[in-house]
Amino acid sequence: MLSSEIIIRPLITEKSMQLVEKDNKYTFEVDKRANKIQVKKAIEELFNVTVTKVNIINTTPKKKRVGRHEGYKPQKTKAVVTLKAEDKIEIFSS
Amino acid sequence: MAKIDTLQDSRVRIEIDVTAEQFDHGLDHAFDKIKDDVEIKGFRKGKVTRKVYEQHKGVETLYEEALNHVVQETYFDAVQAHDLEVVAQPKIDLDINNVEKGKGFTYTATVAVKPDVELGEYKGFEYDEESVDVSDEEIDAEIERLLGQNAELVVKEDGALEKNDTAVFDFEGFVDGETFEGGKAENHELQIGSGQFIPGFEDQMLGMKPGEERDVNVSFPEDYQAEHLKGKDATFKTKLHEIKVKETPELSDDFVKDLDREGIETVDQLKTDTKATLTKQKEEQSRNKVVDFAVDKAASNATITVPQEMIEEEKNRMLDNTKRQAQQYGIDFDTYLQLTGTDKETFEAKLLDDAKRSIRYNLTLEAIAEKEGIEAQQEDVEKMYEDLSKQYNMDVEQIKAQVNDRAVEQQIIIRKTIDFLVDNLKTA
Repeated sequence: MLSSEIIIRPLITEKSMQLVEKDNKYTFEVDKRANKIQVKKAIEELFNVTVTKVNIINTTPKKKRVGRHEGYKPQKTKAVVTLKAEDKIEIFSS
Repeated sequence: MAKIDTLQDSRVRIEIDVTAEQFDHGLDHAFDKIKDDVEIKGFRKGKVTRKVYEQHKGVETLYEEALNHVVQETYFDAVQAHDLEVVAQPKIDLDINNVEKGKGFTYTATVAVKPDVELGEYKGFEYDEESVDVSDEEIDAEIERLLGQNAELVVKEDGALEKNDTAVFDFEGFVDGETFEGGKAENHELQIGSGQFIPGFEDQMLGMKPGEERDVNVSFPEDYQAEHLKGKDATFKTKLHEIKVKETPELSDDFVKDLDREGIETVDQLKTDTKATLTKQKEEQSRNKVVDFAVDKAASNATITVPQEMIEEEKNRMLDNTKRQAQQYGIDFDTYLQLTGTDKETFEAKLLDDAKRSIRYNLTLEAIAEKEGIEAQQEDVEKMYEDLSKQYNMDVEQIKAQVNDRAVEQQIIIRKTIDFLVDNLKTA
């Protein structure tokens, strides 16, 4: 998979901003099929930084109902990427 | 930092430069102000960071608020730095399109300042003071009025209905054989000769005796307020129940005692008291007239170009006052206008006139005070506070907390100047 296919979008929320400030951790939504090593490589390639750690969270899909049809929202995977102390990713800078 | 041009009619144009730092500060302030109401996904209300906000909404959204803030600050700074006595809201000329983050800009404010007063003659006008003597006739008339006020209606036992009697009667009116709304009443009290009813009605009732029934034929006048009754002939069936006459009490010590006024028990005392009251009234009236005369003379001899904005502002203040007063009486402004028998235009035109006059008076008085060196002394101020506290039934301290020292001083100066003007009148 291409790096740009693995990383879907940055997650910018109150919580993720806090992580940036506190621990230099950046949160992204990533492809469900990707593993930690792929995420690490993709981030390093896209943003030109050094990744020291990747944590992956698979979110539980929420139940969704349309009329009497029951279904699920798509399952998502979040990756929390820790960078080397001096590295930064621009889109998150606050 | 700021450049000042003096324009005509006591207006001033201030050109104010705003630095990039000042504007940045304004942006910070603007963001602080709005951030509690910003909703961006992923953030609770009020928790958005500045950067995220600017990425989402753009920094331009902050400009308006920031400009308000910056303009206010720099404008007041400029006014203070140049010691301007501003009398109205400024007109700010600023093109929002020329503004950019990280850059300074320039704007102009045009504002009316206190006009220069060129005093004319204000001393030594000739004035005939009115006599404040109260004649015996005036006292008698006043007491007569008092007696009239205390008159009672007494049933007239026999005799027929005469002019000035009050009739208690039923009536029912018919137009073309039909009854109509408002044409019927029972035990109605009507003073014959008061002209409250349709012309002719009261005359035709003359000579009726209690218990008597009579048909009264009248026609409604052409200008009658009810549209469908205008000019119609009508027949009223009336039945007289009682005749009442006004009985004016005798002027006696007993009557005076019944009035229940403190320290007044005899007719002579009442007369003395009435004389004192009337004299006081006259004195007040005459004083008011003198003051009006003196101030008006001085003001009309002075040359002042009052800026229109100042008048407008004073007018609006007066208008607001009137509206608030009307509200206190529980009526809205439109009803108030109706009650006082004016419409919006005439009322505002009148206010505008009043505003103009009052501004001219005040400016003139201030100028005279300055020229004559009239000042408010500390003891005057203290006395004023005491008077106020008596008037509003509050502690002096409480009053002091609520009113502005400068306003009080101003008022004292104005009052003293008026005294000064009146003292300098000549008797013709």
